[in-house]
Amino acid sequence: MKFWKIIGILAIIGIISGIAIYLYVMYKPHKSYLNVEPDHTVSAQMLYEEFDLDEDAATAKYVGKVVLVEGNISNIEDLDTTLRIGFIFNHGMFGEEGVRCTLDKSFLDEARALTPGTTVVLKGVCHGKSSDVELGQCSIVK
Amino acid sequence: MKKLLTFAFALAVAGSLSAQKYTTKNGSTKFFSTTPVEDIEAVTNTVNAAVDSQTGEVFFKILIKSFKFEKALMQEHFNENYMESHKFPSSEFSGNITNLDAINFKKDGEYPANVEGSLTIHGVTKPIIAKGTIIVKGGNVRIKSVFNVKPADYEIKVPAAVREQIAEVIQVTVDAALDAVK
Repeated sequence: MKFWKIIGILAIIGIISGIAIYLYVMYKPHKSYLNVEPDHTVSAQMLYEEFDLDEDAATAKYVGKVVLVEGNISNIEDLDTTLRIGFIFNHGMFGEEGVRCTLDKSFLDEARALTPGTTVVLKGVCHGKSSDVELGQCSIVK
Repeated sequence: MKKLLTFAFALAVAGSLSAQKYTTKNGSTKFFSTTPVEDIEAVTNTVNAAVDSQTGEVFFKILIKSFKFEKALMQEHFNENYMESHKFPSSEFSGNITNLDAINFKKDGEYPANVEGSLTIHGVTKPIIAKGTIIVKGGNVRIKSVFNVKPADYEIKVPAAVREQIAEVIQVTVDAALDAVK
């Protein structure tokens, strides 16, 4: 009797654990890159130049990877719930081109204190290049 | 890249004829999948879009990794398994407004637009026809369109285990506010 009681308890623990793991996997939060070591550390200018020179090679190297970029802020787009920091190195069909970093929501207030001309270090995930090299979920490192 | 360069050249040539070009880097694209099992939606707000009012040429480019899902797991599967964004990082549309004469880019108003062109997703290019609306206001232009895409047409493979969770036809909504290029 005691044996079956133990089995029953273990089964219940197993089922609850299984449900908990399922729920965690299905509803896990989006990854925060705040404390993740970058895959690449590069200046914003070098990042843009690598994509400009050989987009296929730069795509293979950077897209989907966590990149730490340093640069002198050229412009800041404040769109209320979204803020983007731009490092401009060129001019093309879509106007100014360079590296554009969309800030993670938790850094909006800190980003609003920045001004063009400031040197900043950001960390984000590289999405690839359209007109700009785009980084998303960016955090302000320095 | 070739399409972008061709379009850029066309814009440069058109520039000599005083055409007005409109561009944005902050266009929005949303896609929506609905099944009895689950509704899935994702959105991106860094779409590059361009329109030439003289030639009617239209160009859109979307970075696949920029799509945001509510569920992190779905976002992972979308990038790693379905869209293979490490191989095919972007999606592009290149085409023309076929009823250009019916749109007056110099007069504020809402104009139904018919667009035909080529849509490239997952490295596969297919012809597409879509309807939309061009809203002209204060010298700038907003493009809105809703159209359907079948993932199977673009060789996007959905594993059998989740096939019932993803619709065979996905609704795509485009909304881009473009500024006149000065």
